[in-house]
Amino acid sequence: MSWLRQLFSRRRRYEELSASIREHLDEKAADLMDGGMTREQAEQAARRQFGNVTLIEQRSREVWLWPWLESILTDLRLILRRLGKSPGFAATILLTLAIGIGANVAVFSVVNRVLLEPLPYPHSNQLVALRLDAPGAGGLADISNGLQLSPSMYLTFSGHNRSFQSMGIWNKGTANETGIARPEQVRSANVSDGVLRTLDVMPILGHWFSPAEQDPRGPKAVMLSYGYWQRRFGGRRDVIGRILHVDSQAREIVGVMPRGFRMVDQDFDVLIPMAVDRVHEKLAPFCCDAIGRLKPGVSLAQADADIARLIPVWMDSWTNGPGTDPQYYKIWRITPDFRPLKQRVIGNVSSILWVVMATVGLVLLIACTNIANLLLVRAESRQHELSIRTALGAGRRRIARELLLESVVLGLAGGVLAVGVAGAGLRLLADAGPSNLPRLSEIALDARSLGFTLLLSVLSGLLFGCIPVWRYTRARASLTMGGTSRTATGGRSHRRFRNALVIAQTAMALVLLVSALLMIRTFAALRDVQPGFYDPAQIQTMRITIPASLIPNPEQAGRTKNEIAHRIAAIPGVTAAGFGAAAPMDGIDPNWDLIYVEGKNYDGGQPPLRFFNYISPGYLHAMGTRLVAGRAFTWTDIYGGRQMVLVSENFARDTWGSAAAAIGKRVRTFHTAPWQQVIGVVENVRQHGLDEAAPAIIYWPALLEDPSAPKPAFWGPNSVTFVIRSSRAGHQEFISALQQAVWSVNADLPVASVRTMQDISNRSMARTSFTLAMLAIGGSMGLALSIVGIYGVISWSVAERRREIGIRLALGAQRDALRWMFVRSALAMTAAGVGMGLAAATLLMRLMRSLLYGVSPLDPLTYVAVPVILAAAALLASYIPARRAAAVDPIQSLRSE
Amino acid sequence: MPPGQPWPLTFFEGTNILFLTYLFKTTTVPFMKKKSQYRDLFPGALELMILKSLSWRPMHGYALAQRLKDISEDYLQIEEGSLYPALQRMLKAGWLETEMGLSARNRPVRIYKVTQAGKKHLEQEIASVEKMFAGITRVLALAGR
Repeated sequence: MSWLRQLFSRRRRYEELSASIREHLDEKAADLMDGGMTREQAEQAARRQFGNVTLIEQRSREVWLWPWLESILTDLRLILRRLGKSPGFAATILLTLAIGIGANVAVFSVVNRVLLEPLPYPHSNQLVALRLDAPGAGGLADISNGLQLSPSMYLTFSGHNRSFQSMGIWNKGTANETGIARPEQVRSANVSDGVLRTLDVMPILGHWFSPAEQDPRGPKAVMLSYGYWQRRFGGRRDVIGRILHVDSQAREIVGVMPRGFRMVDQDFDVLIPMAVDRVHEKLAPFCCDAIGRLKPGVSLAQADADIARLIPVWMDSWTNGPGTDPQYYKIWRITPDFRPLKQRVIGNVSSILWVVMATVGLVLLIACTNIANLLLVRAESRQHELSIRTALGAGRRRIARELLLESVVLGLAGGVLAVGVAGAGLRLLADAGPSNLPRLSEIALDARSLGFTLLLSVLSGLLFGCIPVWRYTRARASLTMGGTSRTATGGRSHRRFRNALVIAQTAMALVLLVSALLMIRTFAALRDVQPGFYDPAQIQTMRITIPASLIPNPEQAGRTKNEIAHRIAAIPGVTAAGFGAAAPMDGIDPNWDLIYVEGKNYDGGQPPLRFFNYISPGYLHAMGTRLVAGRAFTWTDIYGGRQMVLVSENFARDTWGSAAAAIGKRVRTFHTAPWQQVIGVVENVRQHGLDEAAPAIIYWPALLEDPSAPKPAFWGPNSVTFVIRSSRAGHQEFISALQQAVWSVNADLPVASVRTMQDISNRSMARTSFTLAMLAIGGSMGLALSIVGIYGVISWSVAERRREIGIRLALGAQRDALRWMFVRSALAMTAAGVGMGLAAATLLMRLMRSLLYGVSPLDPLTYVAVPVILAAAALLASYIPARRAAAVDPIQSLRSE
Repeated sequence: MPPGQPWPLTFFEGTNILFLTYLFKTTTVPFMKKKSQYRDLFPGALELMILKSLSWRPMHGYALAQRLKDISEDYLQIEEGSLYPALQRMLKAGWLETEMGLSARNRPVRIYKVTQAGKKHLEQEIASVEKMFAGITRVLALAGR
């Protein structure tokens, strides 16, 4: 504060100082005049004895350190005035910077929140995802998530491990909540004992589930998420103790979790105790995600070893029922492969984010080289002024300071604008970003992002500023006043330096364009994929769950679903309707299990696990999935309990050689199960996404006889996805008509996940289209900037060489040859840039391999097309100034000096 | 300056006056004429002398210069102008303040006055300088034995 006060009182201080010195001299002169001198002599003597008045005044002022500040202020004022005089120049640079820095800040904010910040749990570095590897388990253990844990594994592991403070299993699901207002499907998370203790987040109201509430025979409890509590109960604090009907089960609300609490990477509405039943658990099912909190000082490898020891214990302790082999899972080769929980949450998003971060970083680098080039040109046009100042005694450092100050001022101003750009960019990202970007909603411009902006602004200011400074201070030795304008062509080294900048720029633009084009090719390849369903925009999907607590009899539940499908089919405009346990790409895997083909022997005695789907009549028709051979199910077949399946085309070909040969063949799931006849073969469906090969699928009827039940009984999946083909799919009134149809059958059934197949398939493409969009924007910005760069350098060299051109023309040079001379130099620069860029691209594109589909990272078409594009751009960018060169009038250009 | 006023030597009391003479003979003030027989004063010495003089009586710049010249006789070569940066430093540190007053010729002039902080600083400095002198004196007296 006193520093500020001093700053503002400086004028008064300076005046007082001068007055003091004047008084001193006056008094002294008066004394000397008393001694007999004349006034003139006395004044002179007084000054002489005083010393150098100006210098002393200056030194006295410097005590306050204002002069240093003042000279900076003067420089600043000069810089601002100069920028104001060339608004086009300033605007170009500021805009370039605003976009360049803004894009970086936006992406940084995402990277920071998603990749760099720890998970929002205490000591989150102790948290691990208990991921198991099981190479023998086929599709049950996919590459990214591995094999999930079964409740019996959890009981064994949590009871006998030595590495974990606590662990727990959980899975996400949906639940029907009834009894408050309209029935609603809520997102539930079923958590075992230990999950909340592991995450270690206390509820804001109430308490964690007690051991009694985790007992299947104990009291029924439920906990709420903050959002659900606010939405459904208006945040009332007396909610504890109230009853909530979840899947028709009355549960007492025992707690509310704090705002922002998520189950690892899942949002949820209610937490339900998993209530693992120690008495009836079997080895299977492998249904649950598992998390654990390591004891301090225990490494992942130690934890792996600890649990590896427990897997045989698990197989010895449990069974899958009489007649089954508990050692069967040995062939799955289950081994622990625990990962930090954070890695599990981030998943494959990190590769996209780093690619995007690299892209925007490259764009900023290109922008900086462009600006450096502009500033270089400017510094050269100021060479005259600068050499005069040098001649008058300006130090090298003083001039460098001014040049750097100018670029830092530009950088900072660009940074201020960039904050706005980044804000807009983040909103865009939140709308268009891939849905699997974790914690997307929490991303905002926080202090760290602003700090990053400041850092980036200053750094880029220094980066593009130090190039002219470096050039200037090196070239100073050869500077002579007035000599610059007489030389026919400017310094050769200057030009070479600017050319080097353009070459670097072209190389970076090439890398961006190659990656963008590879993504475009990936996108096109994905668009050409036959997904196994048709006109996805006309397929409406919705998910309905009939909990056993609502309709305990599976056959009755099946008939209810049949009735719903029947009512829906009667809605005007519906051409087909059906349901299945899972629709393609909706992220649900109903089952993976063994399938034995009649008359076939398997290596090791075990067939591989196959994907099972359970579908109703009408499902295939609604999806548009073609029957390659045979026929589909009918309700008559189903209610008649006929033993039948459909198989996918790839399964039929692999097993029996052709689709037609499959009809009438028989399969079964285990040795004592009845044989099932194959009655139809279905076209391949990309069940797990456009970019994943179609799995072999066994289609079961949506209602079938449970082969493992002691006496004949029907079984069907509780949750099914209805698929309805209609030209009105997606319209609001159509959706409410669907809802009415459901409620006319049973008013307690909520309708959830109402989407069209188009939405689902777009979401499956989201990762690709997002990366594509970012790279395309980055690539086109890079291309535009390098066109500007080439144009700038060529037109500057044309302007600089006007005299030379004039002389050449006067001596008889052909205008065509002159034009070619400039275009050629641009092409030479581009060729050099392309060469470097290609080398870099072949190395860098390998990193993108995981994002590509149907195209090699060294795709020849891309590597030919991009250099051609760049060459065309260079031609265009250089032709305009080259034409100007050829249009030079020799007489005028020679006379102009 | 009224003649006949005794130089207030209080702050040198208890110090070996011969040593002071020695010290002053071998030191110079910043911005003094560069003569090889003079040495630089230790840092803060000029400020110390100014503070002491002004605490005896507030003065304007010229009077201060005259006073220092008169009492230091030719031991110290103080260029008048060199007082001013020192005065500014002390203003900035808050040891001095200025007010309007009258010169010996009844002209309006800026008078430098020691503040409370200045007085405190002066006391501390004198104490530390005396300690230093005592130490140096002792070493010089005994080191050769």
